Order: sequence, then structure tokens, then C-alpha cells
Amino acid sequence: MSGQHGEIRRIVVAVDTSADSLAALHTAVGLAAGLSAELHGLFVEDANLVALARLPFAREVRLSAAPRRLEPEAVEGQLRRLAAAARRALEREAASRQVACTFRVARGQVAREVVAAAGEGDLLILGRVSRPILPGGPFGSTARAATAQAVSSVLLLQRAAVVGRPVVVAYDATPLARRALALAARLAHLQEAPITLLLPPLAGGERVAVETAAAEALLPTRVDFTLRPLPRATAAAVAAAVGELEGGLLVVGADTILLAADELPALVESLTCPLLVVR
Amino acid sequence: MVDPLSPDALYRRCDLFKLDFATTDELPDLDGVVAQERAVEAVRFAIGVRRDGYNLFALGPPGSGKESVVRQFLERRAAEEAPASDWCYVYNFAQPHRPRALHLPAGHGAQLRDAMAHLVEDLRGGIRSAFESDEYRVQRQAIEAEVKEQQERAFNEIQEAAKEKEIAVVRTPGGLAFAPMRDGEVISPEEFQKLPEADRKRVEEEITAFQERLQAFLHQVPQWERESRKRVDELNREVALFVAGPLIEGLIRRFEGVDGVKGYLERVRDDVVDHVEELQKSEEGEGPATAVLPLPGLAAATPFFRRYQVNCVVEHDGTDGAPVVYEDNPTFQNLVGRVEHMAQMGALITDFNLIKAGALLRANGGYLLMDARKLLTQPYAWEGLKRALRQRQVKIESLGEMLSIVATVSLEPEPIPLRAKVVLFGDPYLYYLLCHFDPEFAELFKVAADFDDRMARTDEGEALYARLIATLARRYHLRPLERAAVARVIEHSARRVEDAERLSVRMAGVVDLLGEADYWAGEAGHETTTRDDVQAAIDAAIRRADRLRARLLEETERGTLLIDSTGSAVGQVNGLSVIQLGTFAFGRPSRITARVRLGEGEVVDIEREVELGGPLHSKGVLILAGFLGGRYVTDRPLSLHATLVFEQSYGGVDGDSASSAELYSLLSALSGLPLRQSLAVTGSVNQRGVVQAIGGVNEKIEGFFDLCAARGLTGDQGVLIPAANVNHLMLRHEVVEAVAAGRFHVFPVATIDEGIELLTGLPAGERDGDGHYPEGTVNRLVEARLAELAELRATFARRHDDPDEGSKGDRAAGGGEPRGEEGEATCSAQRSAFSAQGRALGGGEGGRQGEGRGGGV
Repeated sequence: MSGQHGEIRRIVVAVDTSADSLAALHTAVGLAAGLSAELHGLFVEDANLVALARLPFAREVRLSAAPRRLEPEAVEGQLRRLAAAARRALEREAASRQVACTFRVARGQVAREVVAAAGEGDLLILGRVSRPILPGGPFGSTARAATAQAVSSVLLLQRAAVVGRPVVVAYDATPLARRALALAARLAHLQEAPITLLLPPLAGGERVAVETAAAEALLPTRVDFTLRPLPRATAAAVAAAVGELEGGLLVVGADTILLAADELPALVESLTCPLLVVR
Repeated sequence: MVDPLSPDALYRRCDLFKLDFATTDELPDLDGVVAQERAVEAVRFAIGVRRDGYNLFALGPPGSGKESVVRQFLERRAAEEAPASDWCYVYNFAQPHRPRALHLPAGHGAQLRDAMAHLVEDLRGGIRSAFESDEYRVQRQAIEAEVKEQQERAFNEIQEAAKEKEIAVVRTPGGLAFAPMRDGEVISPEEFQKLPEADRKRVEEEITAFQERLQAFLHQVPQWERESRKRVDELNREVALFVAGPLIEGLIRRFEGVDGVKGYLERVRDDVVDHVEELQKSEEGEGPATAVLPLPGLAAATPFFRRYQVNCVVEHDGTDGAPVVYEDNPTFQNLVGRVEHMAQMGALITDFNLIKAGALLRANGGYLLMDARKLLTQPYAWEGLKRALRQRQVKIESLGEMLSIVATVSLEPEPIPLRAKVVLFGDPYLYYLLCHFDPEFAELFKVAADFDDRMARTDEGEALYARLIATLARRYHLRPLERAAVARVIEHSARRVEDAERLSVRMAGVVDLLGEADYWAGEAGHETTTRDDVQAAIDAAIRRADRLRARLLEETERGTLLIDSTGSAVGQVNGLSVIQLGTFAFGRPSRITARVRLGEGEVVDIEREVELGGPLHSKGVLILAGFLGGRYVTDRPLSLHATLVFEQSYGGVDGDSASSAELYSLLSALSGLPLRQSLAVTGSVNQRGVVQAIGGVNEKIEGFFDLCAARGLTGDQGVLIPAANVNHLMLRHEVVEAVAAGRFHVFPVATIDEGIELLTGLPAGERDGDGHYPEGTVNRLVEARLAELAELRATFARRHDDPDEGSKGDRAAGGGEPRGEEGEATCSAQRSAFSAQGRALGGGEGGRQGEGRGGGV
């Protein structure tokens, strides 16, 4: 549910105080500044955790020592402190780029709250929410739920965005693809990076039409672009192409014909750059 | 009376008939060394003996050609010897601060250095390609993915097992926890309490079991990761070995048979394999984790590959034989070598690539030549040289380290065995000083090559000298010299060593004269250098230097300096001294006076009393008392008090060459006989009255001649010289001409008696059968006066012992005074003359340098 003509006016970013989350926050503030959007920070207090803490046998398994008893008051206090730290981090980052921001703490199931909060903006940004004791693990349920269910566009920063590398966009001439292309062009312009369009494997006439549409859309933006037809329309082919191009960001429409609907989570795992799903 | 010398005796001309050539162009080059047989023998011996301590000290006066002779010999010998080894410093992989030294056959050092530079290039390219290759990436990813999968699988198993029992894994701020779930949410405590007791217990047990399982899993994770890293390391090593192995094997084959290189290259290979990650970082421009030197944080920016470089500190091309190195600036560091530093991040750091060899290493396996004076004036250089020779190795260290005053981290390069022969050049006195004061010197420099400064002036010697002149003229691109010019150069050479029968072999002076004569030949437009050109050069050199001589002569003529050259006076004689100003020496007359009175046998040297006289002068004066006592008053005390003084002497006086003049003035004072002031006197005297040789005889004669000539020669003027000095005469042609014309005379005097006869015109007298000197002789008068003084003294002593006799004694003593007054005499000498000892030790040109102090006029 982006703004009119797909513009990003309000960015929602899920924050906690992990390093990945802080990196995502940094990117979000940079984007908000570049796109003149306002920023909304969300900290979710995990209701499951609160409930668990109240159970008599609740124990926390830690990397460093033997399991420790979880006390409800301690958990509540920890969550309050984390939320406060997240707010400070958001406000500090936003102030440094003079971006307007708001902050909200929600309590509930994390994935559900994040998906719900996505509706409050045009773009949801999620950092990696990995388990702290298993770094580098796959994306969690929150990212999967957001990718599949969020009503806004979603930017998954499972890896750091690298400025200056090409912005790769999957383009199949659908309205969402056009919106994705427009957003990609804007981001490429901000980063002074070129654009590479991944085109579906189409027959001659159809392919020319897609290419023409893409060229017409991009020429006024004065961004350098390259067209690259894919041999197959699969997540693996898209990921391989992005890897070869050393892409800095992949932008796809949520309904792109380059991917089956259930391939998005797999794509997230195999990409070497952040993924922006446009809705 | 002694006859004056004939003109022939005053100047020995070179016989032109024996010089069989028109110009020096006809003479072949002289190949070899002139007249240094003793030194050459020593040099040969020193070079030949291959034992410790047989280093050479070549001693001789400056310009005696010792350096060129030794060099000539050494270069000839070295060319026939095996070439010296190359020496390289390489990284010490076990102890980085102690670089290792490698020695390789000549020419191989540079090859190894270049080969290692290429190896580094190849390694950089090869390692980059290998680690960017798909094969490597796939293998590495496979290892990492495998471990990751292993972890995921184990975790998922726990998660799935929990899920089956409706237990979920919940993230907590500090870790993970297990909780019973219902419909995707954690059961609330209230609901949990509603469960039957058995279920609650079961859930708790299950959760405890999962916690333990998770805990075990978490303990396993670091182990898996360690294994993963280990496998990646192994893979990296395999890839590095794949790249480096063949490259280094190629080098090992190339340097097969060269000691130590194989071992070094194998260590390089192991190090490359061990540090492949650092190499990659270095490749990426990041600092290596381990630097060449263990200087934390500082050396981080040092390119890692520097450790594989080879610092070839001594390299030879293998075609020149053994090295002959002349170190012109033998500072400690130039001698021993140094470890340089470079500034990095505001600090000074170093590594083995900054080790620089010194002269000792460059000369290793060959010969090192140095000037002893320069070496001794450099702080610690002499000690550094001795330590290296004593330990037979060169240990490069900074002065700060050697003196333990600097304790910064630096390098301790492995010492290199030293097998070089050291040759020092120096003045003889330096050699003797070192022998005397440094007990190690004799041990380390067992051979002395003593270079002479003169050669015999025989016919063969002159012919050889002519060839030497021809060789020098050609070497320095000068005009050829005519035969007469060569003769003049030879004659001047004899004059330079103050010996008509010797020639100077101090080439520096000959070369200067030839060059200057060539200039005057050019000025005169001559094709060849003539005798006149040589004479012009000699005259011009004197003219340039003789301002002070002219000034002194002028002051004497004006009467400021009192010297009589006519008439006669009692107790006054013209002595002769030599003033040395730089390289120019000239003679000048000085008035010496003597006064005597009753005393206790003292002959007082006023110069010594005021510390203007040197020890040799004092010695000469003391001999006079011995002479007087021994000859005239053997049976009673010598009862005079004589004072001797160089009139108008305000500088210093040394040497005993005025002792005969002082004796003449003393005899005159005692006898009351006046001495001829038209004569000047030089010569030392012994206690028996024998006149002995002195130095600077030519300058002295010419000094008095110049004064007389300036005033106008009267025909009865001349100089008394020791007869032993006749062979040393090489007088200026003006003097010779004046003598030939009978207007000036040079008398060779062997004894004091001969001299006093010339000066007084009376016979000296010899004791007759009764032991008395005849009437009317000088000795008679002297003896009588001394006897009178002795008698007076005895009388005086008696009256002094008996107070009643006091007045008589006083009168008697007083009666003696008038004679004493009459006996007063003055004579002069401004400066020193030479001692014969000076001639014997130092020899003509060099021996004179120590004499004649600063001008007092």
C-alpha cells in the first residue's frame, strides 16, 4: 500500500538493539532521508516471552552458563530497557540525518505485530532477527511472515546493502513491476548506481514489448541501465544472476512471474544482497 | 786552518752525459716500485701469510707512495685469488629479530635476490588466482555450508522434537527458552495450572530434557566451528602449497649445491603455507596480522611480502677475484655496517632489508685498506675494527647497542665470519704510538711495511728516477721534459731530502713540481718542459711562500734585528736556525751571546729558564759544561757561572745545532778573544769537542748568505758547518756562484778547535808533553781563565769558612770581576737548529716538521 504513484512517504522499521537491527536502522534512516519520508520505529515485546516467564519452570538456556530461571519481573524490566535503548538508537540516527520519526512499543506475537505495523507505512524494513546463539542462521518466521503477508513493500536486510553496486530489478511489465522499476530507479539515482533489469524468458515479440516498456520507463530517469534476460524463471536463476552481477539490491514486484509465490523465502536465503519486495 | 769547500762540493749536479735521452718521451714507463725493497718484502710477506693477526701496517711519511705500492700489489694478487662469497641477510622465521646470514658463491647473491623478488610476484599472482578460483570457492563454501547445515540440522531436530510435544523455542533477551504452546502461543500460567498433575510434571520433565539437549548442542557448536576453521585452514594450506610448492621447488633446483639455500627456501615454503591468510590480506592492501618485526601496531603497515625478500648486503660479479676495498671514511658504521630505520606512523622501525654492509664485509675474503689516522679519529671505529679482527666475525650493531645506551627494539643480525686482511696506512709515529699504547695492536697487526722516503743517488738510481719522471709526466698528461729539466728535477729531489747522495721518493712532491713546471712551460710557450721551466717552478714556489723570510731579512737590514756580518766581538757569535712554515723552510742567522762570572760550574740556558727552550737545546747546553770541565779543569771544580741566550728570541728554540755556536761564544767569553762576525756557525758538539751533523744545513747557509748578499758580500764571509754535513749540500746556484768567485765561503769543521781557529784567527792549541797549552793559543787562555776562576772560588770558600778572612776574599773576588766583565759576551740565535738525531730518526723533509716553533718576530 504505497503512496500515490508508489511513492514511499512513511517507512516502518522494526528495531531492537541487536547489531543487525541497528544496521537495518541505519539503512532505514538513510532511505528515509533520501526519499524524504518519515520514519516509524516499532519495538515488539514478545508476548510468548512474557507468558513463558510466568511459568514456574521457565528457564533460559544461554551460551555461557547453565540454564537460568526466568523471572517475570526481570523479563518485563529487560524488555522495558531494550525498548528504551531502541528508541534512543532510532532518535539518534534520525536526528543525525534530520529525519522525522515516531516510535511505538507493541506487545504481542512478533510476526503478527510486525505484519500489522507494515500497514501503517509504505515500506517495512526488517533486519536479520537471528537467534543470538546461532549467528548466520536462516531468516526467522517474522521475515517469512512479513514477506508473505505484509500489505506494504518490504525490504529485507538480511545482508548489508552495498552502496554503488548495481540495483537489480526483476521486470516483467506488470503494474507492480513498473512500480518496482520506478522505485529501483529512484534508489539507483540516490546511490549513483546503474540498474540491471532481469527479464523473464519470453518469446521474440513479447520480449521486445517488455524491453521497450522498460526502456521507455527508464530513459527519462537518466540512470544507466542494462537488460538481462534470464534463461529460466526460478529463484535459483534470479539469485545466480544477482551474484554474477554483484548486485547491491534486488527489487521485485510481489507478483513477478519470475518467481513462484512460495519461492520468495528461498530467494531470501540464497541472495547475497538485500531484497525489496514491492507491493 | 780549515780550507773552505770548493764550489763542486756545494752542489752535486746531475751528469747530463749519463742521461741518455733527449726528452722523457723516449723513456719507457717504469713498471714497479722505486727503492722500497724492505717495504715491498713486508707487503709480500703479509699478503702471503694466511694466518690470524698478519694484518699490515704500512708506515711512511705522506707522499712516500705507500698506498699506491700496496694497492698495486694487492690488486695484482687479488686478481689471481678466488672471488669472495656473496653475503645475504634473510628473514629468520623462528626469531624474526635475528636475521640469518647466507653466504653464496660470487654472483649467486644477486641471483637469489632477484629470484626471490620474482617468486614474490609469482606468489602474489598465483595465490590471488587460486583463492579466487571457483574450485577454491566451491570447496570452501562446501565446508562452511556443511558445518552450518550440521548446526541447523541439530537445532532443527531439537525444535521439531519439541514441536511434536507442543513445546516451542522462544527467543529471550539472553538466549533461548522452551515453553509449552497451544495454538501458536505460550500457555498462560493459569491454563498450565489447570492441567492434570501428571501432565504438568510430564511437561516440566520434557522441557528440562530439551533444555539439557539444547545445552549440549550449544556446547557442541564451538567445536564444530573450530573443526570448520581447521578444515578451511587445511584447504588454504593445500591451495597455498599447490601454488608455492612448484615455484619453490624450481628455485631449490636452481640453487642446488649452494649451502643453506635449500633449507631457507623450504622454510619460505612452510611460511607461505602457514601464513596464506596474511598473504591474502597483504594482497588486499590490509595490514598483515604478523609483521616482519614483532613491533605491535607499528609494523602493521609493513608489506607482508618483505619477509621473503633477500637483502644481498655483499655482492660480487665473480669476475674480479678477491675484493680490494679502500674505505675513505672509516666511521664505525661505515666499517662494521649498520641497520637503518624508516619512519612509519611517527615511529622508527626496521627489518632485515634495512641492514647495510660496512667495509669489513665488502672486503670479506679480500683486503681492506684504510688510513690509520682517519680510523683513529672516528669514535669507536678502532675498537670496532679490533673486535671484528679478534673475534674473526662481523657483528652489525649500532653504536647505541654496543655501548648499551639504547635499548629500543632492533635487529641482531647473525654475525658473519670475517676473513679479510686489513691494511692500515699511517705515519711512523702513529705506528709507534699504537705499538706503545695499545697492547692488542701488535697482536692484530703483526707486519709493518716501513716505507722509506729516499733512495740512493747512484747513476742507476738517477736513470731510474728519470724513467719515473717520464712515467709521471705521461700519467698526468704533462709535456715531455727535456734532459736538462729531468736533471734539475733530480737535483731538486736531492735538495728536498737534504742529501746530495740521496733522492726523494715522495712522489707527491715530484708530481707537484712536474705539474708546476709544465704550467710555466705553457706560459713560456714551450713544447717541452725545459730546465728553466723547472727552475721557474721552484723559484715561484719559494716566492709564494717566503713573505716572512723577506720580512725577517728586511728587519735585519734595518737593524731591528741585531746581526753583525762584519767586524768581531767577544762572547758573541752568529748562530743559524731554520724556520719551518708549512712546507717551506728557510734559514736565518740569530745572535747568540754568552757571559761568564765566578760560579759553581753552572752553564745556564736562559731559554730553558724561561721555558722557551726545548729539551734538546737544554741537552746541548749541558754538554758544554761537560766539555769545559773535561778539557780544561779536570783537577779542580769548574768554577764559572755562564749564561747563554738567543738574543731577540721570543718564540721557542729547540734542537742542539746551536751548541757549537754557544760553545764558541763561551770560549770567546772565557778567553776574551773576539769572534769574527762575518762567519756564522752551525753544528752540534759532543763532550769531546767533536762537531756533529745537523739538519737543514742548506737552508742555514743560504739564510746567512742572503743576509750578507743583501748587505754586500765582503769576500771574507762564510759559514762553518759540520764536516759530516758536506754530503748534504745542495745549495742554491747564487751561493755556489759566490763561492766560486771567492766572495763567500763554506768551511767544513770537524772539531771545536778547527772552528775556534777560524773564528778567532788564533790557533786553538794542543797540550804539549807537560800537558800545557802553548802560549798564544785559545785553549791556553781559556784554561787559564778557568783555573783563575777555580782559584778564586777556592779562596772565596776559605774566607767564607773563616770569618776573619772575609774582607780579603771579597777583594779577591772583586778582583776577578773585571775579567768577568770583559769576558761577557753575547751571541745569538733566534730559533732552533736541528739535531743530528732529528735527521737520523725523522729524516730530512719529515724530520724537520717537529722543529722550529711559531715565529717570535
